[in-house]
Amino acid sequence: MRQLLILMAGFVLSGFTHAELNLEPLKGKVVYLDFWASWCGPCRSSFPWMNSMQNKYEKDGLVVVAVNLDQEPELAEEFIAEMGPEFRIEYDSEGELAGKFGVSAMPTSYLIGRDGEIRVRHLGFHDKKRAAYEQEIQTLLGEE
Amino acid sequence: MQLNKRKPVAVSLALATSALLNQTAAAAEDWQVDTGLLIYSESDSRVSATEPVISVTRNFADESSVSARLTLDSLSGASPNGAAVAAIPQTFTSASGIARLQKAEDDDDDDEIEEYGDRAYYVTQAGDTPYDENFEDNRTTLSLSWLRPLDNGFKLNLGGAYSTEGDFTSYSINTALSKDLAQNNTTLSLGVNLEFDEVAPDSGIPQPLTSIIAADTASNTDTKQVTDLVFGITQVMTRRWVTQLNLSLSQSSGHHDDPYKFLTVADQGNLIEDPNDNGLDGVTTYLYLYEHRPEDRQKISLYLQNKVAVFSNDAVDISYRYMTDDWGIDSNTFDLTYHLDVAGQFYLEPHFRYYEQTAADFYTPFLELGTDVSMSGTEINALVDYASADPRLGAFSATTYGMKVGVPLFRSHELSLSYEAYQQQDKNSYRETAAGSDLDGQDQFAELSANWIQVGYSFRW
Amino acid sequence: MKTLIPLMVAALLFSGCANVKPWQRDLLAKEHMALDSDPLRSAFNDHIYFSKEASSGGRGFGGGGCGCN
Repeated sequence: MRQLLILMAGFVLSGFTHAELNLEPLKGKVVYLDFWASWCGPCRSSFPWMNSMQNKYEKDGLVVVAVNLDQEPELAEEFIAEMGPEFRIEYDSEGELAGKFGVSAMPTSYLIGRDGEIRVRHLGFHDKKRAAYEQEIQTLLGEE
Repeated sequence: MQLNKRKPVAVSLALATSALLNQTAAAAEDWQVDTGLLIYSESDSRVSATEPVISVTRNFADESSVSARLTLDSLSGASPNGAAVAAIPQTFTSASGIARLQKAEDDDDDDEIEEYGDRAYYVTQAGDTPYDENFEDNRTTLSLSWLRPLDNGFKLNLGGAYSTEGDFTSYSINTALSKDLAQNNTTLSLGVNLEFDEVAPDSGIPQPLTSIIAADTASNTDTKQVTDLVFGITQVMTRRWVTQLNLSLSQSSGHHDDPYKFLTVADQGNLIEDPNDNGLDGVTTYLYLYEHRPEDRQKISLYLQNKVAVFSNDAVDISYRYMTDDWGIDSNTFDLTYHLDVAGQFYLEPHFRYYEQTAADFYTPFLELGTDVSMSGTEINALVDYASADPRLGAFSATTYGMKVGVPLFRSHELSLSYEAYQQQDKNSYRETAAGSDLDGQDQFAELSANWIQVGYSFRW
Repeated sequence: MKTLIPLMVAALLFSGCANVKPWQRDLLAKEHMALDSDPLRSAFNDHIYFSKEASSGGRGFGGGGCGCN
């Protein structure tokens, strides 16, 4: 519950575009925006969970977008081949997007509500908080 | 591991810190198993040792972990007894050894006779370094460690270790706390290790600086306490470079003497007959006094390590350590390793280490009658407070050349093999002796040459 | 305390000079880039040197690596 109250006031996504990522068309959906890399251990744990969230809540309007930050592209490809993500992958090897979003830990994920506003930020991925993360998604999906 | 008899092993602080250290890209819950085997040998048929180790770590979903390490140590061979090299043969008898042998003969204990026969009475030829012969020891060490992340970027480690050998037991507990700052680019750490050692040689603890055949026993057991404190900073400097700076303080109080080591007493460079010699079978027994070291030792060391990623998969590891203590020993250690990735199939790590130390204030290759020791009739008095001829406390430099090969196998399994060759060079100042005397022109420091092989196998599941 | 102050100052100086982003830890995350990438081997070597020389220890702690979570 406490997590839902973490608001990044004034940070509005609508109108924000990047060469590789345009979140405008996703307004009205709940977006789980995750920044990850192949060398990040907790990212390895997060992928199966993100797969399961995408599959479970896609019909309710959840879209998982995972932005890769690897600087050696072949490592990202190996990771993707191994983990088999069923969600959208974007690439940001220069870290421009990560910088703009203020990514301060690996991994970092943002839950964006149907209104296009960032509602929750997760620093790191912690196995024991999975239930809480899912709860947040459900709450945001329940809006509007 | 006691590659030298009853040297306590500061194992637990290392285990505590390495648990905190191995926060690599590990995923959630798993087991990690590391096994190793060390085969060590010294030149001149000195010590050889075989040491298998197994370490198991369980990582939990809440990011805490528990580790256990078991080390078995099987040691045999000979190490210098501290007496000086002389131009004439020397016979070493120890009253305690003789008493024990006598008892074994009375009891008809063949095993005991076989084991202690050589230690009660042995001969060193002219020009040879006197060695304490043929001992065998087996030691077991168990250490445990628990790592737990706390709130606000803190991590806590608690651990303990227990080590036991025939005449030596060591217990220790340790704790370490670390804090991550600046987006995990900076880590501050603090560790404390408390160790308690007890030594109980079969023949008791000899009274220091008394004749080896006097059978003057101070007590049956003696103890020592060691407190270590380590402060550390780890800093990520660039995408390719991480550095670590540690300051270590150590305070050791209690019994530091090696109960099996002694020093030759010489008169103008000539060996002296022990006035307490009862003329065992017409064999001349010379005068040797048991060593004595201060009851306190304080050490400070500063350690700086740098690790730099080279190309995509290579790395350079370069470190320097400075140590100084209140026994007069200063040391410098320089270590360099290059990690060479070969086509992603295996890796090579050539390794070089240079070490040098100054001698302890009370280190001397032998004692001089008149200056260090006075004798009147059968009464012998040491004029010095402390003395030791243990080469470990002398002045020397040492170089190590080595190579490790690591082969990743299937999944997370990896096999590795390394070989290292170690050579010491004497840097002591020569203690003058009279021309033509027994000790004249003889080596005063036994330079150690050793090499070792390590095999390692590790995996996760 | 006297030795602690320079260390704290060093910590402050050190933390000022790095501006490495969390996603730039890719190389440091590689296993061979850990400050102690083979703890058993380090333990073996430390024990050998401890029993033949008068110095010991020095190496210590964590940090570096991927900096995840």
